[in-house]
Amino acid sequence: MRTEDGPDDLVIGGHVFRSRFILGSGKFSLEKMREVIENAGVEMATMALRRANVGGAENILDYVPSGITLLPNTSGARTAEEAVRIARLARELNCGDFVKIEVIHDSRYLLPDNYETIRATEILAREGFVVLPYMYPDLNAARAMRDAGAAAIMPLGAPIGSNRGLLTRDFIQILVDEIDLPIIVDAGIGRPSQACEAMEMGVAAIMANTAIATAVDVGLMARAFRLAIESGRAAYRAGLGRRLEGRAEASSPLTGFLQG
Amino acid sequence: MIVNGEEKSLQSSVSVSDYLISNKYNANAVVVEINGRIVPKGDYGKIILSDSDAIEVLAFIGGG
Repeated sequence: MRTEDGPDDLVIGGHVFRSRFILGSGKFSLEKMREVIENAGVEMATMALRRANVGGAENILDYVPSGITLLPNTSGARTAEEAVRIARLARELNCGDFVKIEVIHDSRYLLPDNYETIRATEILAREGFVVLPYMYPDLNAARAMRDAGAAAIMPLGAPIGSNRGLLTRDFIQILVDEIDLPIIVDAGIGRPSQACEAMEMGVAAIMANTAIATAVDVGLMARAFRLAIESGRAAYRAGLGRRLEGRAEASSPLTGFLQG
Repeated sequence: MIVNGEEKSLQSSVSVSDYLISNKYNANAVVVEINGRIVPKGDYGKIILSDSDAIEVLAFIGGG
């Protein structure tokens, strides 16, 4: 645990962010997405790339406030080659060089393929992308992604959309302790307390989507997540108090009691 | 011509730009691939589509 004072910006690939909350933009109407971005105070949001089969549709980019960094994902990719193709196509939309690599060919649990993700990371990092690979928390794979040029590592907490929290917490902790890159928990976080817990562990940032989109009051939940992430980060910087096993320690001296 | 995996008839040779306009696409909101190659935005007015082409027109949507 370390105590720090002063600015606490998040730096990814040379870009500086004040917010440690990244929004997944799925499952929202365009208007709702804009409201959530504002309530959540996010500075980065993901998008997916899909076939535009009809013209005249609204442009989602018109609903993203200026100054927000776009993080296109490669969802739909089942191999490294497909992820690379999607990333290159997304970059043509002039929204910057960030890309979240998501390579999934398991349609039930939607678990990412770490090996394909490593291969895509290497190719895209070489092409100048700021690469954020979404991965199953495995230290060896994370090291390979770091060596391949990833700008951050995005381990999952639980299956996408499940709201089941930090099922992989111990293995996320290993990444925090061993990898000198921002570790961003993405997928599975279901409530603000889980986001707070991850930040207390030393995670650099949180990405959430379903937990907000499936809340009863979406705008308020976005705000709750924002507060939780700020709180968890402050707690980490403050240095958590020690944990006492096997005994208690009185908060006032056990002498000098009032008699009679 | 094949557009996003479906057969579509192409009346006459048109530029990518004209194709997008006549199909009500916003050229700033889409990215176009012809026969597996990305078309740079600056070439939309110059590249002419032909009936034997397979094109993909893609855009961002919400996603996590």
